[in-house]
Amino acid sequence: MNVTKEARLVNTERAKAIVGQLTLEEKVFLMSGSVTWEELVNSMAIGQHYNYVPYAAGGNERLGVPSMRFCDGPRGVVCGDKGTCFPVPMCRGASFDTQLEEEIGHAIGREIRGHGGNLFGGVCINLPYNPGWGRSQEVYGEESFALGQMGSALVRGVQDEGVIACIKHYAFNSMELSRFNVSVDCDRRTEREVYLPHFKDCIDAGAASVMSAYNLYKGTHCGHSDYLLRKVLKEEWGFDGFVISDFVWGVLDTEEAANGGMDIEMCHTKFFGDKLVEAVKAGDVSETRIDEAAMRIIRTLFAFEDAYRDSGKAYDTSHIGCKDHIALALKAAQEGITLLKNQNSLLPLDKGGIKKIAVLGKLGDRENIGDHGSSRVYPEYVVTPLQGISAMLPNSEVIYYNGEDLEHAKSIAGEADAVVFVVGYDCNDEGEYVATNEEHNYMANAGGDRKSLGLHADETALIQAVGPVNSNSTVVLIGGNTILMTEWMDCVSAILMAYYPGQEGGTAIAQILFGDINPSGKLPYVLPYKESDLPQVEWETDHQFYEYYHGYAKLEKEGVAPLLPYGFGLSYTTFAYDKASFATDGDTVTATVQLTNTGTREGTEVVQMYVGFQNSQLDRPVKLLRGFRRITLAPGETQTVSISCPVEKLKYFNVHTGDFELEHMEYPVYIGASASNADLLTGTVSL
Amino acid sequence: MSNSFENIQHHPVYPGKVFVTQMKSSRYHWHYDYEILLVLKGTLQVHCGPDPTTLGVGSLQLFNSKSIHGFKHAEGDNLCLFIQLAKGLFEDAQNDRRVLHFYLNTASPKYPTTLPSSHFVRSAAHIGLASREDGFAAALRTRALLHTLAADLVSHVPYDTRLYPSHQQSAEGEMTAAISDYVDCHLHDAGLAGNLCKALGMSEKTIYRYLKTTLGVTLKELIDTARLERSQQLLTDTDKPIGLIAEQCGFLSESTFYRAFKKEMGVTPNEYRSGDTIKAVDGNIQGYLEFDSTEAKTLLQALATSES
Repeated sequence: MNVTKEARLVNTERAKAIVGQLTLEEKVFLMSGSVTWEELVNSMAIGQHYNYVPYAAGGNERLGVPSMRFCDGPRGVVCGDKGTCFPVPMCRGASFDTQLEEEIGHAIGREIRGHGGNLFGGVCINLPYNPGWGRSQEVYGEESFALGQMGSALVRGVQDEGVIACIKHYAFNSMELSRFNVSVDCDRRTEREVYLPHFKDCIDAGAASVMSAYNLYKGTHCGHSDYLLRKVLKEEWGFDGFVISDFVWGVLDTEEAANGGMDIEMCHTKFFGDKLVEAVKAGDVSETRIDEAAMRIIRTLFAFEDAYRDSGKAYDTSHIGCKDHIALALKAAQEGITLLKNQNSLLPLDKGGIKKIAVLGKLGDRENIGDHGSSRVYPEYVVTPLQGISAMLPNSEVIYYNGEDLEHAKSIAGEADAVVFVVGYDCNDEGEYVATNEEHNYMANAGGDRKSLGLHADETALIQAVGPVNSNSTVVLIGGNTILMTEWMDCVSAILMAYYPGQEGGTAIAQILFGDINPSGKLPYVLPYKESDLPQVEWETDHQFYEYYHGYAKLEKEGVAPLLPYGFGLSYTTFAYDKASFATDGDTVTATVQLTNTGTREGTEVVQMYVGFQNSQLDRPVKLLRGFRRITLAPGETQTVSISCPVEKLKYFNVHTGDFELEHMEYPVYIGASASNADLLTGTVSL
Repeated sequence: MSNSFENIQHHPVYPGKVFVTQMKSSRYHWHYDYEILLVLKGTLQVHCGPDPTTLGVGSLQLFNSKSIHGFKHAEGDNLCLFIQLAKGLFEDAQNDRRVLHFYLNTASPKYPTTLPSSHFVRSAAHIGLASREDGFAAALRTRALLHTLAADLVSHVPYDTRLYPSHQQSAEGEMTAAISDYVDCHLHDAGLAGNLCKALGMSEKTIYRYLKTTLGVTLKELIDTARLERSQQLLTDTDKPIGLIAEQCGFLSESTFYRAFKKEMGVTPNEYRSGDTIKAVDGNIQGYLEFDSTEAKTLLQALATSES
């Protein structure tokens, strides 16, 4: 049931007719979240949690207008207490598997319908300017193109189940501690080329709803921004759906928000409702604006509810946390977990050869599926790394120790046939943040932006002291984004980045450690040697400027070598790239290569295409990711792989004309295994 | 079940067994229960792990489930509180293969606890006192205190988590148990050490390593201790002539037996036999002896209210 924009626009006249029959109060009611503050707070007091049931807004029984019923994400569906907990999007981003992401979208859509919801508020596609952003686990990586591709896949999957996909947080929401008061600024090209394209990609993919951000952009609250909401989103991009506010503090002024283009105040009504009715009566907000909002809401809800009803599907609670969905969560972890180092082919470990294995580190036996903010999903169970490893080794001795005493950890490591350190972050280190003593609080006091991009001092000390004791040592990293490794990477033979791998994460980690699964994830961010290689951010501030360059594009532009390049990830097999060719038909650029599995086992490679802008007359990145494909090959198998990218994606934003324009020049094009030139074959196309 | 295994009968109301006893010595043994030892009076030498320690009054040590341990008689009388905690207290249904392995020895605190060690001494003494009261309420109180102790251990004592293959305990522990069992059954054999290696198919070096890691003793020390213990038992429980006892315990001659016994016990076998009235109270308990019960209560009360 593909609820495309075209299918939605069919309902325009019908929606307008309904709007014509509604009173002002009824129209404004559609624009108002129905959850009372007491309900929000009390639900937590009676042992439930945030968004335990879908949060409703609007609806009109008299004329048969359904309510909008919001379910949060993106780690899964937040409602209830047995939802499937997928890996966080950063892990899914590392899989570069848009098809899998679409399947996850389908699963999420089914679970939302199972809860009685009809909107998924969990397509989070903010670009992390600096990886210390506490909520960057909720997004797919640092690259705008990949954010757009993965976000669009989730949108398609969710909406194909008759559930509205809501993309967030529009826009520039890449800081947590200051999210309520920071005003972000950047120049126009940065805005259009770096921070907005992935939002537009998701709109183009059909996303029918957008959530505004808490922060300000150039001094205006995003939820009040006529520029962002009306001019860019609704007019330039032709967005036909409705805009909802971020919760409780996303609308701060009746008139500004309504006139700015806000359609629904979520999730409870403070500035819309009666105040909005008054503002209309006083002439401060035009009734035309109210009619527009009401029409957008009705048109969208009709389209989705009709499509769902007509599909004959009636998902019940049996889909929530069902076997198939959990299997999908496992698959996402298997594909996302990224092998960063594998000296002397330590991994995969030999199941039969390990009589005793030591698991060290505070996170070894932690049910660690991400932060405790609004994206927290409550699955029926979580497999910890220790549980995964011990299930893999029923005939071996497994010792787990948190690693506090280094001498004891050393003695355990010395006796073991292999050592696995599980280190990194949890909800206390990073995540959505609301301080307990502030009025801005409906959750817990934890998380926030990271204080450092490295491991905790005690974890670094543990790896440095104990890693060298046993040459069969592997570090498994848990966390939502970049974790620096410079200080300790030489102390162990293997390193696996597991992100927050979801409820089956422990299973996937063990399957990869012991070779049941061949790793295929690739870093969705650059891994620098040091923090100062990245853009610097003042996390607690009321003003932040986002420069044009961040991530791998910044390092490459400045000639700074990364520790590991964007798109890097090892496999238990090897791949060879050969016979690259590059072509253009004027509308698309295509790179073609022969990929061969030169190793001894089946494996999957994420083939990446980059386009270079070295010949530009302007200040542009050296190169940018403009395509990727996952290819699975048997040992010895060769396949010709083609990746195409629309020329539209090569354009820059001309601040003088206000349009995206193509530079006519020769473009280097690259195809290969990572963003490092050493991993790429290159050629040129002329446009 | 092997010789060195001790089967512990739990109280009908609470998941464990609590008792005070004079501890002379015990053979190396293991049980599924966790065991907490608190010395109320005198001293006791403890063998568990590579470093034997001597515990004095107010010292407390925890023996993990299935860990091989043994006690050796020290100078003078002693009195000890034993709290044997069911393994199930530390199990959760989802992770039934897991065994928690604690590090708690107040006499030799290799790993610091996050509560002062006196907290555990007081808790143990309170459990000792509660268990000595009659009635259902006292039994319930003991149960509550045992659960609280279990929670305190998990919260405040360093531990690692071990998952063993379903068919065995730790490889070292199992091997040590086998060695100890063989020694106990072949004390009369003058060539015991050599035959043990043959019987178990292990080199002397391997056996040495196992014993050092698990008990901190050499094979010779293990055999000597076992022989001496057996001889003490035969001296007190039987009327066998001393020459026969020496032979049955594997001493080369009666005079060798006299010298070794006198050196270790400070008295000759004859003096020991005539002067010693202590009898084992319970065949199920390894070497735990009778004592004066009012004295125990006084000592427990003192430790239950001690500051440090």
